[in-house]
Amino acid sequence: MSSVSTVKGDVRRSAASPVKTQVRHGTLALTALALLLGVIVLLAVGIGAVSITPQQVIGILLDEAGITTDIEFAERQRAVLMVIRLPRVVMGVLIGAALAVSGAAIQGLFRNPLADPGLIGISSGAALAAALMIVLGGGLLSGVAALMGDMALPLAAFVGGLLTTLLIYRLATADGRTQVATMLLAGIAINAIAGACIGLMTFIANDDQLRDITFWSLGSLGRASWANIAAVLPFMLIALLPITLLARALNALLLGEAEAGHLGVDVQRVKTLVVLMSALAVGAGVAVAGIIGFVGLVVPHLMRLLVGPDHRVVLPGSALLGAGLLVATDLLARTIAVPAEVPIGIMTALVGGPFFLWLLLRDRTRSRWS
Amino acid sequence: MSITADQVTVRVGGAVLIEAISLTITPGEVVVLVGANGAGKSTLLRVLAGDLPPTEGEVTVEDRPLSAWRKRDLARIRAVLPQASNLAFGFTAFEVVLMGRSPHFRGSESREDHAIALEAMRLTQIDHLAGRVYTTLSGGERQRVQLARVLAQIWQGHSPRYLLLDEPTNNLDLAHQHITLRIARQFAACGVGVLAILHDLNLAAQVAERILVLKAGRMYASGTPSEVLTPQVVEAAFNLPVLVQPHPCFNCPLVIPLPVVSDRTASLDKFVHEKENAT
Repeated sequence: MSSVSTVKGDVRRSAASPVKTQVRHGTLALTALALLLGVIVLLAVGIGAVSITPQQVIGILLDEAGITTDIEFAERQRAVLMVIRLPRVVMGVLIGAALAVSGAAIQGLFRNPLADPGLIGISSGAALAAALMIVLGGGLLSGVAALMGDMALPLAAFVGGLLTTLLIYRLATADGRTQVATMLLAGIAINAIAGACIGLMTFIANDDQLRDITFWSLGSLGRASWANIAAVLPFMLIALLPITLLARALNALLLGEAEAGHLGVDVQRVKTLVVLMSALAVGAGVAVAGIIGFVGLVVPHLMRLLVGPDHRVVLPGSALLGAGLLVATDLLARTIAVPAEVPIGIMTALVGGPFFLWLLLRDRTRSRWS
Repeated sequence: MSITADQVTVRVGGAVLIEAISLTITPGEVVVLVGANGAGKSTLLRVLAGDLPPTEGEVTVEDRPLSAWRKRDLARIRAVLPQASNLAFGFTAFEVVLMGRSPHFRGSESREDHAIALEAMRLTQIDHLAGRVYTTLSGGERQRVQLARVLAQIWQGHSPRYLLLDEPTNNLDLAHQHITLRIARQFAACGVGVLAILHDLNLAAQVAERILVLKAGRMYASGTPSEVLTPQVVEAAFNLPVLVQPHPCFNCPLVIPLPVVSDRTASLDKFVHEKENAT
C-alpha cells in the first residue's frame, strides 16, 4: 500500500518534465505577446497624417517625464502624440484587454467557447442603456443624469450590461446546466429587442443625440481622451484584477459546477464575480467606445489554440492579445480610408463574423472545442 | 468519524425521490449502494455529496453538518466521482488529474502535487495518456482519468478521508471494472471510507463490507453481502428471479440472474427443479 500513501522520489523526476515544458510554453507565449503589443503600440502611435518614428515616440515620452534626450522631434509631433494618438492607443489597450478577458471568463463560466459579451447581448444591453441615457437624459432621466454628472453614461452602460448578463444567465441555465442553444437564442432575442429600442431612440432623437447613438452602436475609439481614460480606468481595473485571480476556479468550473464545488470552489461566488466584473468591464468599454463585437469571442479562442485551455495563461494572454488586436484594428480603421475613418465595430465584426462561422464549421466536422 | 445521513428525505414537487434514509460510512470500509433504475441511488449520493439539499433530515461529516464546512476544507478530505463528466475544453489528461490536487495548492501546485497526479494515473493505468487531450479520449479512458483525479484529491492525509463514487465502472471493460474496485479496496485499507453505486451485484459482493439495497426511494435491506444478497431480497428489489450460490473461489455469494427470456427456459426450469429437490 506504499504506492497510495507515499510518494517515491523517482516519480518526482519523471513528473517534472511534461509540466515544465507546458509552463515554459505559457511563459514564452505571454512574453511574445507582450513584445508584440509593444511593437503594435509603437507603430500605432507613429502612423497617421503626422508621422512619428518609434525613436521620436520614446524621445517625446522621456521628455514628458522630464528626461532630455538628443532625439529630435517637432512640437507638432509632441501635440499629436500626447493629445490625440496616445490616449486613443491607451484606450484601445484598455478596452481590448477588457473585452478579451471578459470573453474568456464568460466562456469559462458558461463552459462554452461560443459565449461572447457581444454575441449574447451584453454589449447591446449596455448600448441600449447608453442610448436611453443620451436621449432621455435631458427629460425622463434628467434626475439621474444630474445626480451622476459625467459618470451617468458609463454607469448607465454598466447597469445595462449587468442586467442583460443576469437575464441571459437566468434564461440559459436550468438545473445548474447552461444550455448553449438557449443562450445563443436568448442572445439573438435580446440583441433584437435592444436593437428595436435603440431604433426607437434613434427615431425620437434630435441631430446631436443621433450622432451620439450612431457612435455607440458602431463603436469607435475616436473620442478617446485622458479624461475619458481616467473615467473608465478604475472600472476596468476593479473588473479585470479579480477575474484574473479566478483562473484556477474557472479551470475547475470547466469540469462542471458540481465537480468544481467538490474541488473546494465556491461556485456561486465565482459566478457572481464573473458576471458582475464582466458587465463592469464591458459596460465601461461600451460607455466610452460603443459596441465593439467579436473581440471577446475571437481572442480567447486564439489563446486556447496557442497555449491550451488553462485560464492561468488564457486570461493574461487574452488581455495582451486583445489589447494588441484592438489597437491594430483601430490603426487599420483610421488609415484604410483616409481621411475618413471606418467605425472600429464594423472592422471587428467583418473579421469576427467569418471567424465565428469557421468555428461552427470546424465544430461540425470535429465535434469538439479546443 | 463518519459521513452520516440521518432520516434524509428528498421530495421534488409531489414526488418522493428518497424517503427517511439513514446510513453511515466509516473510514476503512467499502459500502456499496445497489438498486433498480430510479430507486434513488444517485439522488442519495447527491445528497451525501452536498449537491442536493434534503427536504428533511441532515447529512453530517465528522459530526458537522455539510453546510457548516468550508468547501475547501471538505474538498481536502472528501472526493466525489460524477457519473459522467462533460468537459468540452482541451485539457490534457494530466492537467485534468492535476486539478484534483487544487484544494491542496498553496498559491501554485508543487512538485509533490505533480508526483501524486502521475502516481494516481499509474494506479488507474492511464499514465500513457498523460499528454493526450481529454476530449479525444474514449468513454472508458475519460472515466479512468476522472477516477485518477478524485484519487489524487484524497491521495494522502492523516485525517479521515472519504470517496463517493457514482457508478465508477461505467464504460469500463471487464478488467478495468475489477481494477477500479481493487483500487477502492486499497484506499479503504489505507483508512478511506468508500461509498460506491454499482449495478453488478457480483462486483458488489466481492468488494463491499456492506451492501445497501434501495427500493423505490427507501432502504430495503442492508448488511454484509451474504446477509443482503439472498434470492428473496434481489428478486424483490430488481424484480428478477435469481439463483444465489457460494462463490467458487471467494468467500462471498454469487448471484446468477434467471431471466425468463429465451427458449432455454425448459432446461432452466429443470435445473431449478433438481436444485430444489436436492435441498
